[in-house]
Amino acid sequence: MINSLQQMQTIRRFIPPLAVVVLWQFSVQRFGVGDGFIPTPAEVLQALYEWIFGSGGRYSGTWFASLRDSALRVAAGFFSALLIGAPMGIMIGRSKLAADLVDPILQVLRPIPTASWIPFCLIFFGIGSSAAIALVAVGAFFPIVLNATAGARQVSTLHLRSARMLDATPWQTLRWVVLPAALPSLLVGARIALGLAWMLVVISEMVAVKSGLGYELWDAYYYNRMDVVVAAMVTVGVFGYLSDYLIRLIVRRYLFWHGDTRK
Amino acid sequence: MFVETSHIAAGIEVKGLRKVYRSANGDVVAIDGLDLQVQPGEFLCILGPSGCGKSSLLNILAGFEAPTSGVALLNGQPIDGPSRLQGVVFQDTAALFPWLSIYDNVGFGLRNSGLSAAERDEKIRSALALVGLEEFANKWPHQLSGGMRQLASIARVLVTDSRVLLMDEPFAALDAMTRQRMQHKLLEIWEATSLTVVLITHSVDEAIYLANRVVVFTSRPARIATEIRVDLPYPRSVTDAQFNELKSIALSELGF
Repeated sequence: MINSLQQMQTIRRFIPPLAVVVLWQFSVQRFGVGDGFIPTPAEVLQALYEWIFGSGGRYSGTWFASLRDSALRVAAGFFSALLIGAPMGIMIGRSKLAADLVDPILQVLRPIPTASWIPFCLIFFGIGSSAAIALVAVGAFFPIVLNATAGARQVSTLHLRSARMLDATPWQTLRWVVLPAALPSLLVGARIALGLAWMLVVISEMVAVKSGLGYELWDAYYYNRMDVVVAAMVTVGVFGYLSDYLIRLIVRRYLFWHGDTRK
Repeated sequence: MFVETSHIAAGIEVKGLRKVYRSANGDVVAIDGLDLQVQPGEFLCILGPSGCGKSSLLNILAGFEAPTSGVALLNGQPIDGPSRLQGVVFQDTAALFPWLSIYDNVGFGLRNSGLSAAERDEKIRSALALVGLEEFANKWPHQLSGGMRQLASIARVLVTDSRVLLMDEPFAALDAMTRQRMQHKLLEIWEATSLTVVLITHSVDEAIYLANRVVVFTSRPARIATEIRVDLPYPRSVTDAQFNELKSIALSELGF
């Protein structure tokens, strides 16, 4: 009984997206919604198939290479941001001196939209992968550093006192008390950052790089291949979702002890 | 000097202790000129109304806070910070590290002990056995009841050969039944280790059930209102006539 209820709930979740696709196909095909600029789901699927499995040429067989380029840029930018942002955030959260020195700068830079860094990325890194990675890193850095700070500030006095009473060294306190206590918040930041990273990789590839999903999307727009544009959007959506799922797996694996996460 | 063995009890001496907290609304005197001695191996309960400065005293003995003036000595040495010598069991049952197993929580204090893994394992197992949690070594704090978590908190300070156990209303967050079981268990642990115990409580029953000596504090600033020596044999019965005699003395000092 419970099993069938769960099955029903699982099936139920697939109904709305399916309905949207059917409605989309029907309204474009039958009623010409979009004046020919909106491709039908069937056309998108066909474009995607050609893009993935085609024998080469424009939007044919180049999907894997584009996906690989974008994903590598996302990963490189995200991990650079994590490598710098997480330790910096923990330092700001734990040290009044670090907070006084670094926090004001962060607070001033934070409201600046990430995309406005594109000119600087281009000037310093030129047209190419590095510019895209730099932009992704800048965007991903802020949610990571801010959430790491918040996490490090939330470490319970009780746990810090426990560590002192058990003669933990400062390094042990950092590794075994501050870091695990900050981890739930840090991973929340990482999730937000990874979502931003996909968004920024597409933006940067539209203007600053001549490869990747964002580049192909923008290129397809110029050639009026809206089916490819949508296929690229779908690809980014799917892989953005998958990378988020990856972080959720990490959360489930390492934060089983954390009440709020467990619920 | 003394020979170092497991759980040598240590004495505490407090002389002319004064603790003032500065705040925007003026100074708050939590403790004013307190003199107190705790003999090695003694079980002392400090009984007093809420907010009377009991916890300030415990924080000073633990080394978490410094006195404004006066001295607190542990084994004749001034207490200048937290250390393994004085283990603290907090009121909050969330004091264990939730991200470590019970085994790792108890083993935390042995990280820089210089002991081999096998020696550490033996100490952790025996501390867990002493509090009766051997079977819960591989559980996590959230899987244990509040009472068990407090026992694990005791084990994590016992494992480091603490000489003094400082307990700040350790059973206040537990239900009445669990509380009684914990008190019984604590006496077993005390008898097995001959530790010096200083336990803060606002339960008269708990104080007289556990202690060799009960010190009743006045309300803020904390001074000693009276001392009650409890010479009743363990295990004590809360319905005993002598028990109730001592209880009425304590209650009248507290103003009931």
